[in-house]
Formats: sequence, C-alpha cells, structure tokens
Amino acid sequence: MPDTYDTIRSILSSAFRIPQDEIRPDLTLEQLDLDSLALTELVLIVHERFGVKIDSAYASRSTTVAQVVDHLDTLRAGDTGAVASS
Amino acid sequence: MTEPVAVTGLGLITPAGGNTGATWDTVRRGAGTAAAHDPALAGLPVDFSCRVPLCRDDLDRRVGRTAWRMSRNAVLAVLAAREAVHDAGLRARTWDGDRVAVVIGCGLGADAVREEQARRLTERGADMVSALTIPQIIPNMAAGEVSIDLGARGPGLAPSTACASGATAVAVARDLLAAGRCDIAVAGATEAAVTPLATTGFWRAGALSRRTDAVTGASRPFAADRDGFVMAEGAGVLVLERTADAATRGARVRALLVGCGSTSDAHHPTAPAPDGRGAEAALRTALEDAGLAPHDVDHVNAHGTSTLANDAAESALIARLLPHRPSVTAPKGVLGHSLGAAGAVEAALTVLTLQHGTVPPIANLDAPAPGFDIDCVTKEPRRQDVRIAVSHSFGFGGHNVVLALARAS
Repeated sequence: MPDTYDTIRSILSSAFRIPQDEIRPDLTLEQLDLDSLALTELVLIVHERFGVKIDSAYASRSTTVAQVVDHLDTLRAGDTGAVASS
Repeated sequence: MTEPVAVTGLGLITPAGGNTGATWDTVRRGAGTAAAHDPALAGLPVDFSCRVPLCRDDLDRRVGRTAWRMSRNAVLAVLAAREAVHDAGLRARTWDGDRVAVVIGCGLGADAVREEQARRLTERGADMVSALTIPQIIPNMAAGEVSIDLGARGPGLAPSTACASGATAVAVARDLLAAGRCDIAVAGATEAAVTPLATTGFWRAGALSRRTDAVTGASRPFAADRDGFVMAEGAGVLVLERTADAATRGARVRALLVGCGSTSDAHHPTAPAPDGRGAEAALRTALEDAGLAPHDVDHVNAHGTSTLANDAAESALIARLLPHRPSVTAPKGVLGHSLGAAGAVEAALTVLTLQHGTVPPIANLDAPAPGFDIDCVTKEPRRQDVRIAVSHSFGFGGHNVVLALARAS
C-alpha cells in the first residue's frame, strides 16, 4: 500500500507542523520531535484516517516512520503483525 | 502611591490587524471590523463576529513547530508576546529568564477545544478525545506557552476576571515589579472564544447585539440605539519594567503605568451595580495609587461594550467623577468585544493614544445617547495632548479594574 507513507507524511506535516522535506522513512518519531502527547495524538489521527489503531508498541518515540507505515499496512491487510523490534 | 512602571513594549493581534501597527491604523480610523456569517456560528441566532484576519495556517506558520499543540488563544498570546518583547528591544535568548514574569489572563480560554472534544466524546466515544484536551483548555496554558516560548522562568500567572482579565493581568504584573519579584513582566491577555456555545451563552444572557442585517454598525458604544456587544477575539501584551531599569538599558518608554485600581461590586453576577459604586471605587483607587486627582484625567479609554447596562452605568460614572469632560473613546466599536483580552488590548491602545497624542473615534457613533453627559470622540480621530489617561475594564462577577497611564515625557 504505497499510499500509506504519503498519508503518514501528510499527517505528520499537517497535524504536527513538520516540514514535508524533513520527513524521511528512516527517522524515528523522536527525531521528528514527537513527544508523548504527540504520539497519543498520532494514534488518534491514524485511527480516524485509516480506521485501525496503532499498537502501543509502535506508538513509541523509537519507532521509525517506515515501521509505522509497515505496521499500518499489516493492520489494514487484516493481520495483527509483529511488535516492532526497535 | 506606587512607583510608576515603564511600558516598553506592545504586542497586539486583533480583528483590526495582525500586529500593533495595523491594529492602531484601523482603530485610529474608526473602521468597524464586524463581519457577517461567521462559519463557526452558522445557524445560530447571532452569526456575526470580529475575527483576527489571519487563518489558522497563517498563524501557525508565524508561531512555528510548537503551534501544533496550541489552542487558538495560546497561538494569539504567543504572537502578541513575541511582538511586545521585540518592540521593547529585548531578546528572549539573552535575558535572565529567571527574572521575567509572564502574566497572561483570559476570560473563557480555549472554548473551541472544549466544545469540539465534548462533541467527540458524546458522538464518537472516549478513544476519540484528544490527549491535548486538558493541556489546551486549562486557562493558564496561554501563559504557560508564552513562558515556554520566551524562556521566561519567573512568576507565571493567569488571572481570570472575565472581561477585566487583561487589565487585571497588567495590574498584577505591576505589583510583581513593585514587589521586586521580577525585573521584566510580560503581561496581557488572550481570547479566542467565538464559538457556538460561548456565543449562544452570551446571546441567552442578553448581552449580544442582534443586528444581523447591519453587522458593521452593530457595535455602537454609548449610542442611544445600541443593543449589545459583538463577539470578538484577539490578544494584547505589554512589556513592563521598573523605570530605573528601563532607563539603565536605554529602552524607549512608550508610556508609564502610574496607577491600578481593582474592586468588586459584590452585587450581582452579571449586572453592574446600579449606582456604579464598585467601578467608581476602582477609578478612585487607581488615581490615588498614582497620586492623581480626578481633574487630572485628560482621557478615558472606556470599557464601552455597547450594552444597555454597561454604557449607561459607565457614562454616569464618567460624568459624575470626571465632570470636566475628558475625551472618551471606546475601542469595542471597532474591535468588538474580545472578552478577557479586551482590557489588555485597550491598555495598549491607551498607551498609543498617550504616545501619539491621538484619540481614536468611537465607531458607529454620531453622538452619545441623550442623558450621557460625556465627551465622546466621534467620526474622526482627535488630536489631543493627553498627559493622563485611564482605561476602564469591567467583568461579569462584578470585577472592576482601572489602569491609570501617563505620557512618558
């Protein structure tokens, strides 16, 4: 689901005011300056947008953008997926 | 008598403009800012308002990354505070933040957030309520965000005295300076409560104008045919310093805050005391605090809400205590009523009147109502050598606050 990354990038940019050109798949949410409030908000926004709830293990500052995207793709495909190893 | 403090910086973001200069230009011209059909008020009996002329994206871009977590009232406060600090020639990166106080009040706070999140809870369940709900709706968060933004680690307060909150904030900041609790005070108030519930609440209380067919003329302080105020938003911030400190660093002093008076009517939740005794006591206290007599007052920046009760009581107070007929203006004719922010916005405008020798006209007023024996400035700005001015603020709960200001030189 290649659109997932674009949507996450759009959410990070619009909801958290992160310039789009600063967002990369390999960056952790911490590197994007998301704090605990922001992570909770991200879970809510993703839930609204995709209809699935990010596992709490992925709503972590050490999770990369790519891991969030992969996790969401797994959830959207109907698989619960593995917990992030980071 | 209390030592005067210097007003060295101003920051305004109002329906008349996104900064102090733009606001002053519009207020000086007496041009009303009310606009019809506010989308946030669609379908309500009163759907017009005075809005800051910048969309949320524009405001957020000016604030930067941290804007994501802020409610609108906090965004307005941060922008006004930054402008005031810059205007004072201060740099938040280099000052001793331990000695900087932030006193930013509000009347209602982030009501838009409260209403939206309550709706989400009811309609969509607990999981859909934002984690930002509490951080945004607590009434001190605008003060908190300003202190974070400026690195101001001194006393932090968020006075709430309804529509006198801004004036209370300035008075409290003056007291902190006088007591030596800080060396710089960033003081003012913010409000962004043009929301369905708040607007409906004021409408139900009979406080709002119902001129839906002539909205630009709806806010008409002291007019015979006034029928209520117009909901507005905005923020006003002043930087205050002890005069000796301002002189030591060679700061430009825009005006002096020479006296503050705060009293309570102890009469009724929403109606002013009919004999105006609480407001009169606030005015007398402010003048005594400044070592002034009533006849020293050259100009009154009135609370002037355009409601039947306030304007009648206030004009009677001015006529009674200041029978020498100082000039009177009422910025709410242009700006509408920004509730908790109004007192700070109007204190800043009073500073500009003292500095520029210009009294703005009251918008939408040809002449004061019969029986109002006061010298309202109408139609055109008036050149006047104003030496002493007072700014009135009165709030639900019976709060009365008067600030006395003097020309800097």
